[in-house]
Amino acid sequence: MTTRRVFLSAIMGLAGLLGAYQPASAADDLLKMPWDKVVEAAKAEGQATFYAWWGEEFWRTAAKDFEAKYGIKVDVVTGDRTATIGKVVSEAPSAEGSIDALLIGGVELKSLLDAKALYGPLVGVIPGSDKLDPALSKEQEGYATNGYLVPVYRNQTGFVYDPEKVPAPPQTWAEFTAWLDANPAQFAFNDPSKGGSGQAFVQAAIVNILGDQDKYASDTEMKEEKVADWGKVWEWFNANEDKFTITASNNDSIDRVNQGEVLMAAAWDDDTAVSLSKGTLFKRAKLYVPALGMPGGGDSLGIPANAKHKAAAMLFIAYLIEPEVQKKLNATIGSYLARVDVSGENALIPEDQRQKNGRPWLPGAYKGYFIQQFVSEVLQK
Amino acid sequence: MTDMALAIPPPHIRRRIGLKGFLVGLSVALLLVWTAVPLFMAVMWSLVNPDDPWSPPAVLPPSFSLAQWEYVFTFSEIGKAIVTSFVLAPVVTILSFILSLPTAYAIGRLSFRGKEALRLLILLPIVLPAMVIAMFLSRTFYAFGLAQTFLGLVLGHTLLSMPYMLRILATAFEAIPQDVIDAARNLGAGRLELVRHILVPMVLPGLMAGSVFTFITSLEEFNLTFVIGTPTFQTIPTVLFDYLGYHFVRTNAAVVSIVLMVPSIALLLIAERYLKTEYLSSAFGKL
Repeated sequence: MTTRRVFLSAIMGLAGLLGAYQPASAADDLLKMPWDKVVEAAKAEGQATFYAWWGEEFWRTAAKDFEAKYGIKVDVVTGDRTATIGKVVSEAPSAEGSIDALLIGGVELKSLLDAKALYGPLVGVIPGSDKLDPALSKEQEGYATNGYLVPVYRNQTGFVYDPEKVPAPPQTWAEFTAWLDANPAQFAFNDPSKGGSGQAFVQAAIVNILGDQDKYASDTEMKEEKVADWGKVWEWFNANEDKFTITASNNDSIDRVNQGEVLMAAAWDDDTAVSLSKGTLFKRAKLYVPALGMPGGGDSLGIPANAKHKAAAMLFIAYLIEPEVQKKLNATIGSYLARVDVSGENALIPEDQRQKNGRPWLPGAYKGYFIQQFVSEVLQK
Repeated sequence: MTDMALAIPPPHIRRRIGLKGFLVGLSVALLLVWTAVPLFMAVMWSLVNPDDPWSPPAVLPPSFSLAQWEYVFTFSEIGKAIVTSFVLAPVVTILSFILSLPTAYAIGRLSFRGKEALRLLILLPIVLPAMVIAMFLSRTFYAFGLAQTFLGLVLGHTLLSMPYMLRILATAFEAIPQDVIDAARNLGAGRLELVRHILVPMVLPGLMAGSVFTFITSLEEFNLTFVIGTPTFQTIPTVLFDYLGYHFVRTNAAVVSIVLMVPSIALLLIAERYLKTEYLSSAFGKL
């Protein structure tokens, strides 16, 4: 069992134990108050604590600008993703937790909802939340968000490549497999248990080899009959094992491209943007979403049910989805705006390509299963 | 036969010295590669100029810049984290020593039922996954109002690092020959003199070794600190994990790693003369 899975099991276990517990909240009224009253309450609270697991430059700059605008101080802590969720779950039974708002990925949604650890629903209450990506606002990884998560950015997986050596990158699955045959071991993706871009490529293989992604949509539990033919996908990976380079993490794949070890790799758009801005990837590198389809999603903001400064947290979230702040987010960390009514300039992937070739993730139950199956049927074979 | 001829060892001895010299040289070279290369690479990555990427065929970064250091010191709490870490670790080391001393003496010098089971039990905090301990232990800390307090961090770190101090100290007590104690007593040494002239000098190397391990464990602890300490307290690892986690950023991780690594290496070098291999192997090698 990997360390991450041990952590997640511990979180799920504790979430289950705490499931019956619902701390009394005197702040329910905030959700029904007119917005200007929420702003007043936020100013009276005067402070908030925000947790994220990356993107410190954007969150800290935004917190400073927010303080200048409203006089409310936001402490930003950027740490580990799993540990942050663990902290929220373990603080859930306390009347007051130490986190007021946090960044949440779709994969963590179930643990937090099971532990009744979130405050809301926020979508529809927070101004501007009706302008966010509608799909991401309703469902993440197959789970209905029930309005508890406010999307803050979208991200997309694609292929990062060296355009000097790959002048015409493959688009369709047939073109891609032909490219693999011609360039053995020149394509990298990470072990799917170690990061989302590897999961994205495995999902793309499942959907392209077996077809019909729609049949999995909105299933909260895995249906055995729908995965009965997945063995064909593992056979394909095993038959072509010499043609891939499997790496240890999202960024390891990008690093292999930078080192010239491979010509192309599955990668996230925001990780690629950060690598380009940090000098860990050559500037000529390009990223695209091939026509064979690669999944994308996004991360969201939420408020713990026992947050001390709920009004300030709501106002900070409202600030983070304002059009100008969303543009700054895109310019600073490269993730694409969650708003659909404005666009950013620092997009590595053009919006039309994102819309045309981007795909939703398979629901969480199937995603978890293909990660586990890939490890046992491909990596350990 | 000349004096010179007498000074030259016979061929089979020469061969042995040559082989020994080669093996020592090889070990030193391997050790250098093992420790110096990662440190060198961390320094190089921390100095990469963001506008001038480091990619092959360049063996070294094409130009150097302090931008990555500036970034980490601007957009993280690393300054405060360094202070917290280096105040916390010595306090934890002293408390671990005080709390370990009676148990270590009992395990090292006395016979009682369940001694071996106790030895194994002591290791539990370092055998269980750190996040699992952190999540369940945090409930106790919240219940007692110890979360978000410096005292809570001290107690948490002490719990996680005490096994090192306890095991090494117990082994140091165990290693004192009974004959020496008996001889001192026969010569009229009282309890205080026995402690001062026999026990303390003979346990000191073990104490130093245990202190180094305790200090470094506290310095590198992440999970419990993150759950019960942040946002009030940040330590170097809570900042480091931002760059090492899901969105690994090599250049920034290099900066924070150096901040974390250099004091640890310096400490190990200072304490090196006290680090006796037999203490470590007997403390942790016979599980």
